[in-house]
Amino acid sequence: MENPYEKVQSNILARIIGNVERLNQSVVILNQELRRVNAKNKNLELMSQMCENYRESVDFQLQATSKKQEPL
Amino acid sequence: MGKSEKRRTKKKQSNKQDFVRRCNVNSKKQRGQKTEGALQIETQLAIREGGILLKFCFPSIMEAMSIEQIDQEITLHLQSIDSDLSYCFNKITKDVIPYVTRYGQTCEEITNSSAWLKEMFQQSANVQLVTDQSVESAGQVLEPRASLFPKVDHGTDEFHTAQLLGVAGTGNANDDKDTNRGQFQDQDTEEMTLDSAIEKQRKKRKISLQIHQQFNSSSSASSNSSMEKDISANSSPIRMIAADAETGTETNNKIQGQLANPRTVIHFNSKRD
Repeated sequence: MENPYEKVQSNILARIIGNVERLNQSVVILNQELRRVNAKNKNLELMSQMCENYRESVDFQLQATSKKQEPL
Repeated sequence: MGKSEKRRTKKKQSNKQDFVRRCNVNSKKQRGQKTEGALQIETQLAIREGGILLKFCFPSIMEAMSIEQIDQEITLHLQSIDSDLSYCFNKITKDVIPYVTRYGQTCEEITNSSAWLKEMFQQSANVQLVTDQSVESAGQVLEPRASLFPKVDHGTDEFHTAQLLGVAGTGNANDDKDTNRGQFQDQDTEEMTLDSAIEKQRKKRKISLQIHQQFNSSSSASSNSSMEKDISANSSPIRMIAADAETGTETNNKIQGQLANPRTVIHFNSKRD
């Protein structure tokens, strides 16, 4: 006797389940993309560190040889 | 099909609400004395309004109405949940993921344009940088090859290779303060671990070593190379020390003692993450 409500609720539940599955799939894809981007950025991070170290060593070198000039 | 059902339920709900009002009025009149006659009237009303027949099943009509209200609220909540979930899904698929892919493409362009820098550092340190997931090839010291800088005639190529060997003569270097740069330090060459932090430090030191060696033009007092001639006399602290080596003076930021040893290594204190 409670069919009308049950029918409507079951329909809504089915839609919810479908939405949750699609949402889960999209979140998985998002996760993969982010992981890929993160992996690629690690190389960039390494290079930036090396550049920074180079700059520091050059700076020290110039200071040691008293060749460091004031900024223009 | 769903919309027609919704309209029917809405109509039923409005009918039920009217029925509830009438029931309340009737109950107020009868004051709890629900006789069979009253029930019959109420059932007839229900039938007339086209309401739900389940009033027969429940002893109390008010309870039935409250259950219906609860059912309605349940349906409403489920609908709101469904709409929120679909909103989230649309937001992620239409906005977030494309944005992330565009960001990734931009970062890739940056790495491509700065690839030459990576090659330069790799060659200077004679080390293969880890770019892939595989860690096996990490930190491999390649065969010594010609340096990027103009060649210096030293008779040996030892100065041009990044050899991080601890020297016996570095024992004297420990007397200096550790806070100063340009001191001798015993390198942990035995720690050939694949730890990324140690690899980074090693690369840093190799690069600084290369630069320092080139500009300081080795520890040999004899300046035979053209490169050394190009460098001014006051450019390198080593030269100044070489002149003072005879006096045996020890100063900060200067190499001590055995300068003639070609395998001496200079390490700079680099920032550690």
